[in-house]
Amino acid sequence: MRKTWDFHGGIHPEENKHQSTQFPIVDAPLPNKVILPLQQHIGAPAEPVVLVGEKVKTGQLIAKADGFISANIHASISGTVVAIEDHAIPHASGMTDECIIIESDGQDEWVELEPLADWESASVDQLLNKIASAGIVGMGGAGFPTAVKARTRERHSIDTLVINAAECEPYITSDDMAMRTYPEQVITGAKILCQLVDPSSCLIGIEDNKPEAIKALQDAAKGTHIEVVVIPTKYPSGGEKQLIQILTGREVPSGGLPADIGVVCQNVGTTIAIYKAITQGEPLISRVTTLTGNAFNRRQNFTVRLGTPINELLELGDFDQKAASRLLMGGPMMGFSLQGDELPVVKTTNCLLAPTHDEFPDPELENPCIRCGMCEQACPAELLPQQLHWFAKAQEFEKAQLFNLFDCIECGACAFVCPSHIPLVQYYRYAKAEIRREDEEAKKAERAKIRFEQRQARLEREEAEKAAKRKARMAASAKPKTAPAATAASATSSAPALDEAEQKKLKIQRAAAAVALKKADKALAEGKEANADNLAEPEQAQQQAQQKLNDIDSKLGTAKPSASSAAAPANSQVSEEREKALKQAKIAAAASKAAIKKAEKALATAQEAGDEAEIKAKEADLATAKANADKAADKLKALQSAPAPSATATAPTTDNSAALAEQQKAEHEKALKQAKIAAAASKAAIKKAEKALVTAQEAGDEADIKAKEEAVATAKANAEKAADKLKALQDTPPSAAPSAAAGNAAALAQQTEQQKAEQEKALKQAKIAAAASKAAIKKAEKALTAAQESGDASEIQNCEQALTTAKGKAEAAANKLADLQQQANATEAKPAADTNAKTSSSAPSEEDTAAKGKALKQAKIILAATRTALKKAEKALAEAEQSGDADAISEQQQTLARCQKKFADAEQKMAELTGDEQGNNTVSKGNEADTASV
Amino acid sequence: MAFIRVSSPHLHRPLSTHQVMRYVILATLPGLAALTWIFGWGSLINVILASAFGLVFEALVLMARKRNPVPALKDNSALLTCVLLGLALPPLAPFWLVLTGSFVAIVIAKQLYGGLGNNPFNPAMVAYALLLISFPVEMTQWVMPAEMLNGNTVSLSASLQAVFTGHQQVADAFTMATPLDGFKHKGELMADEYWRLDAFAAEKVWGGWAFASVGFMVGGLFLLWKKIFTWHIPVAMLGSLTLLSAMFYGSDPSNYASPMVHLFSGATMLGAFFIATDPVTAATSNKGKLWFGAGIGVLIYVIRTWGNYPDAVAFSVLLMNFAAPFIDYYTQPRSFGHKKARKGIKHDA
Ligand code: SF4
Ligand code: SF4
Repeated sequence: MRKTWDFHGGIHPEENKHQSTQFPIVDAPLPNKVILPLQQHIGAPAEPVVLVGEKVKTGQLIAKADGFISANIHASISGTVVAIEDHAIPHASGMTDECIIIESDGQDEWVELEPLADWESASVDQLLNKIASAGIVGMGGAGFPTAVKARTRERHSIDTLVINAAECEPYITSDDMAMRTYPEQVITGAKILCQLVDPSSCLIGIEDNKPEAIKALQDAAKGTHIEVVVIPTKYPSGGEKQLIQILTGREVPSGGLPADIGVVCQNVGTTIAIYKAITQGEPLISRVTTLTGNAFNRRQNFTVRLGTPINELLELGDFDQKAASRLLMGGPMMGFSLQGDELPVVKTTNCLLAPTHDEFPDPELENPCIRCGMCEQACPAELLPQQLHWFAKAQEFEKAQLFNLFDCIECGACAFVCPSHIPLVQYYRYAKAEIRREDEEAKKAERAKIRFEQRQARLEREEAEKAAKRKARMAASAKPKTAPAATAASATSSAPALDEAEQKKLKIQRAAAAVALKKADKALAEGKEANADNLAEPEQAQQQAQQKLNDIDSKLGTAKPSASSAAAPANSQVSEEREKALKQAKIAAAASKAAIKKAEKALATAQEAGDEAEIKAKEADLATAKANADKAADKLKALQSAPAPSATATAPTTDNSAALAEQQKAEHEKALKQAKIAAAASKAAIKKAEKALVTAQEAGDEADIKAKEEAVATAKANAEKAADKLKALQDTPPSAAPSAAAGNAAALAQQTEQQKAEQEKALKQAKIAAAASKAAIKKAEKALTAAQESGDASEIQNCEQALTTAKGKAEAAANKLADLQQQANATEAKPAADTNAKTSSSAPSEEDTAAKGKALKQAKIILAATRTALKKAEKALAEAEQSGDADAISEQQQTLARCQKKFADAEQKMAELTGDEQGNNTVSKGNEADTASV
Repeated sequence: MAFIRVSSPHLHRPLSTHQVMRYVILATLPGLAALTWIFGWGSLINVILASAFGLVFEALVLMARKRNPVPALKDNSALLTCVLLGLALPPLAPFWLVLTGSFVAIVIAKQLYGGLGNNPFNPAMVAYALLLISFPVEMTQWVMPAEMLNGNTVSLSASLQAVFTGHQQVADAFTMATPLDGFKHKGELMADEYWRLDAFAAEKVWGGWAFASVGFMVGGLFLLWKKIFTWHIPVAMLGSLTLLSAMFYGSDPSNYASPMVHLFSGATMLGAFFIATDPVTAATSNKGKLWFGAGIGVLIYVIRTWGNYPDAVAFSVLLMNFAAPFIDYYTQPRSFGHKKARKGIKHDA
């Protein structure tokens, strides 16, 4: 006898296997139609290669593997393809997916099969190709494409092939009966696998509760090097990791593969499928499925064509609908309940279980965890199920991960033993799904952000270059005019003037480069903070930016002396002083920015702490900091926009009016800026007021709500005033720069601005309404839970009704909000496009970007909103399920579906927007491809 | 049948919380019987009174917390707490002592912490400790064993009288200090001198306590066999207590009590199998349970030998309850496929 090991924990549920082993396996009658999902495996769904209306024969390829990890699908009957459409598929979440539906012609006409007659001398590639083209996937559980798994040898050295014949789940006997009936097929299949994997030992692990199958296999394996290892019956010994530990004493490392420790594991059903594919050329079109549970009057194993609708099997098994408590696909420990009988049998369907109420009574009420530790004693993964449960319940997903949540194999042993009837696995699934979702989102957001910023930096760079060129051209064309008017001095100054133009250009370039560098720095820092694994990209960008800046600096350095030496000494002094002032102003601006940041941080902490007085104080600090910053910025701007002394040196005699206009323009710009700041501040004020309003609404304090509402109103009035002023300023462009195109643009801008303001108002109202309805929902929910706790039925009903109305309202509000936001996007996008077309002198791409950035932001908001809705719906569903109220469940499911749809839409939009951007962004295209493949 | 969505697993072991609690309550019966046999009706009256008070308190608190009291009452957890309290209190304790104890156990130590599963300290022991500190006289008067009263225990009516009217004469006539208490206050006497002082009484008293202890041990072994709890806590606790007492007894038998005295008198056995094993307040992993149990054993010895209180199960258990979360953090099992176990609270990635 071979030495075996034990694994920690495990349970001994009643086996209930004898019910379905009384009769031999028989072929189920041909189904009238089959529904073949394009994805019955892990990996990418297959690509259909038939058209609707096409006639197909049994065994014909109808969908081709798409990508490395994917699997072929074959017609399991002969007939006509009647549809390729979404259809309900067997999945724990009850979702739908694309399926090929074939109506039988009753003939069962097969395609020509091409066996590999002499497989013993066939090459590894031939065998692998045959297995891959037969569409074979792991038939025990997840459905991992077998050919891919068998290929692991290319990368790992494998010494042990394990055939998983444990079949540890209660009730299921499909493997057991298959082994009894076709032991040679199992052994031959194992031999083929040995040829593929070339292990030093091949072990068939089988639980000792299947004496007939053991005997049959041992007989068939005589004379081969294949060893049948009998292991004690204990659930979940058939778990891949557990079986490997039992047979080899090795532990598959967390997050690793069996191949990492030199083992490949295949299920017996898969082995038989391999045998059929190689020696008979038969693709995977049928499998053995157990019909069992006392609600079936005929409990037996059948060979079933894939895609057979379950209702045909129910008929075959003489299903007693009234007696059944539920209908499961798979076993009682890991199977999932089916939500309809229109679902097909798929490659991984090993059992249909229809227990009666006596067998599987309705789940008992969940009691508090008493920390009895029974779950821990039972857990084969040696986790702390009760801790994981606490964390999942408290939404402390990070801690749950630290406690190795992802090593949980969802075997259900913990929930089986839990005396408090806590549906532990459900909690883990929830937590895992949440964590995956969050990860996914974080990654997506990070990617989008980097892309966005890169693009922004590039556009700014380009713009700056363009502007520099323009200026240079203008300077060049202005020179001939000044030259004749100038006195003798101008003759000597023409060369420096060139230098000056060059210098200006360089300066502008430098500014752009500095901005780019800053952005790149930021992106890098953020990437680092988010722990992004793809830091190379931002790093590179940062380095490039730095390089560029250095280049320009050095150029500037050489250009400067030549310019100042050429200019009059007095001028050089002035210029030096100015430079100094500029520097100081810059420093002051930077300092004030830092102060703002600090103040903001302090405010955030204060808000988190929730100390009212503190928050107010911090807000005041922030305001002062901002005011200071504004002042500093103004000063800086003034200094920068004041005509440079070097420029005055060359141009004093040329054009006085131009200088005047310049000054005017500067003043106007200043005013404009202040107005803009005021507008922004007022907007921020509105936001703050709104926030306060929402909190007040949530708290439900009437008086407070009123006060806050008033505050919002005043804030809005202020904002409107500010907007008016801004508009007025924008309407009266400085006299220096009037041009037809600009005038047009201004008019247009005014119009859109008005429109926008209106829209914004509507949007805000909608937002408030949405928030209010959310608060109402929350209140209703609270009331409902209270009612549920008090156990008053009529009260519960009332509350439920209230909740549904509230939800309806919320949805309406959300819809409206979404609509408005879309509208806003549209109007914003349009004027931007218009101005682009009309005014070539303005910066079209920048406006475009801004508009798009806004649209992106809004899309993000919508996405977030729908996501929260989705989350809520999921939660509500889970709650409904726990309460076991069928009506509520179906209702919640509908809501969930709606939310999912909306979420998908939002995501689509987001994808479009980001995709759009990506299309524009030629620089990051290559990078994008990289991240996509990750 | 409706096509409902139910999460796996669909099978469940037929053992629920209320059954677990019921097993534990049943397992106290041999000990209770032994106590009653030896010390008369007192303990039984205690248990019944405490249970009645406790259930009423539980129902009242739950109603005050606006919860349905029925499921909580059905889970037998309050009953178990009160049974354990009743067993720990000295027989013939006045009824108000029991009432106060039940109140503290159920209302303060259990429900105010959030009810079943959320209480960090063993409720029965919280109540016991509080009573011991507040009413040291009542709490240290233990009834004499039957054999010292010529085979007659205190009659039922006398017992009831003592309990409800606090008839001091009844109580005084039948009570004495426990052997541990006596040993503690033996003064300058050598150990064997103390035992010889009143050899007859010592033997009787000692025998009575040992008998009751065996009763609790039997019940505990039954629970072990039923896999209601694992062996780790009782074995670690009794082991460390034995080891320590053997060491000191071996080095100086005239001043220290023998391991047998420590194991089979006082609340050692009750504590080892029924109190320390309370899952809610104990450490969870197997390794953690070993530390937890060993800690209790050590503390019991230390407090009994050098502390101010004759018996120390309650304080030791409470102290280790305090340490349980900490122990849990440092004794996490190594999960399957991991090189080593995670330790501590830090977020080491
Ligand atoms: S088995 Fe249930 S009650 Fe016991 S510790 Fe685990 S989760 Fe808690
Ligand atoms: S479901 Fe997860 S936590 Fe529970 S016993 Fe199985 S592996 Fe352990």
